[in-house]
Amino acid sequence: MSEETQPQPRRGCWHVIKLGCLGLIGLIAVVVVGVLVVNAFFSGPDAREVYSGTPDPVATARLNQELANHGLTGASALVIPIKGQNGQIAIFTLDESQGFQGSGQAGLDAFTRSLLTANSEGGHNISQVAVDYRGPDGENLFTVATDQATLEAYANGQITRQEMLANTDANLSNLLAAFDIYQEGGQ
Amino acid sequence: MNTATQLPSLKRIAIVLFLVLLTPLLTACEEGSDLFFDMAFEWAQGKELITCSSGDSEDCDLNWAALGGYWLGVGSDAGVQAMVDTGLVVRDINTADALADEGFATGDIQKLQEASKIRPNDWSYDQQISVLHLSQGDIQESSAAQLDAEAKAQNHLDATLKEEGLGSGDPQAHAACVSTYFNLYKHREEALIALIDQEPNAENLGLLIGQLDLVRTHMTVLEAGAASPCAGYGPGGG
Repeated sequence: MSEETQPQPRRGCWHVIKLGCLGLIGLIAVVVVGVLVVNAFFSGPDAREVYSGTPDPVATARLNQELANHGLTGASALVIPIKGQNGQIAIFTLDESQGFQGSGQAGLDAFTRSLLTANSEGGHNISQVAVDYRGPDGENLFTVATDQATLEAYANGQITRQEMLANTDANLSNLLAAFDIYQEGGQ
Repeated sequence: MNTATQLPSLKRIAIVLFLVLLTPLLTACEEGSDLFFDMAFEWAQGKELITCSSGDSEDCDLNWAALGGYWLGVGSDAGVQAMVDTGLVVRDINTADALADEGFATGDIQKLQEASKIRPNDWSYDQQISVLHLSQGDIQESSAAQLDAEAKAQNHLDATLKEEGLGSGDPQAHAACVSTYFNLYKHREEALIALIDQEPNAENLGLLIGQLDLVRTHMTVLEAGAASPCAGYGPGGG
């Protein structure tokens, strides 16, 4: 029969490609679901829970005074007890929409030293430090955080700036959100 | 390998890392901009998020595997994730404070209650509610709000001691207690001062001044280590 002599479509190859694609999609789905399940069961309390305590008014006022002493406009501090720990976090908000323009290396070093002095003199028990950076619209662009011991070692010259930064973490979710904003704004 | 120059999207991500993340910090300051860029560069290199073929930042590529690994790594460490999410906490506090300020200025207790809902463990709003009730002559509601504030402070202290594995006789337990209750009283003092300044001719000014004297006495006693809510904590009290 003439039908039998016609070349068959390469169904075998097509099936392999389809199966491969389905397999890949399935694998990705399994990985994504797995990550979500692991996060759901093993993730700890979130920031709103860990830092749900009442801000320390004395330590907050002291650090804001230090910021003012260094002429850092648009910068403010908040000290909050860490839930389940006998320590506090100092959160510095640097807000471009409020006029923050930075400090330079000398300013950074001077401020870091004064933060540590304020902490030890005031007995504020600050064990973590975070920076909440806000852009021209006042919205959070990113947050970076490190522990007080790392900052202290840097201020005392025991570690380099690179080593201090290696112990610093950043919120990459916000970073990617910022990417979308900047992409829409054009290159 | 120079994928960043081949794929515009990768280049944009690199811009995110080096410009969006860090450069805006010191835009108006030449020295600061350099510092910010340098720190961004050192941070990304330290985390191996970029690989460079030379010391020039233009010869660097984004390391996607490291970026993904870092992201997952931060996400899997609850402590680190909480630290880098503190922007959310600041936003909540700003929102709650704005509501509380408005409620306090206008005598609208409902606004203060809304603030307390945003930050349910934060006793500063309960102290403001208590003081506002007092200024309106409602002593019963004022006491109830003050008790709420004290209960939250005690819960915070109990959670700290439990998680840190501290017994009530531990010296650190006494220090944690003093710190917690000083915070509680300080917020009450600030709320009372704010309201007295705001309404110096208030009908119940005498009540407010009496409470201010009382809370200052509590703070003095607390700092002196005399009989106080913390007398049962520490080596002599446990």
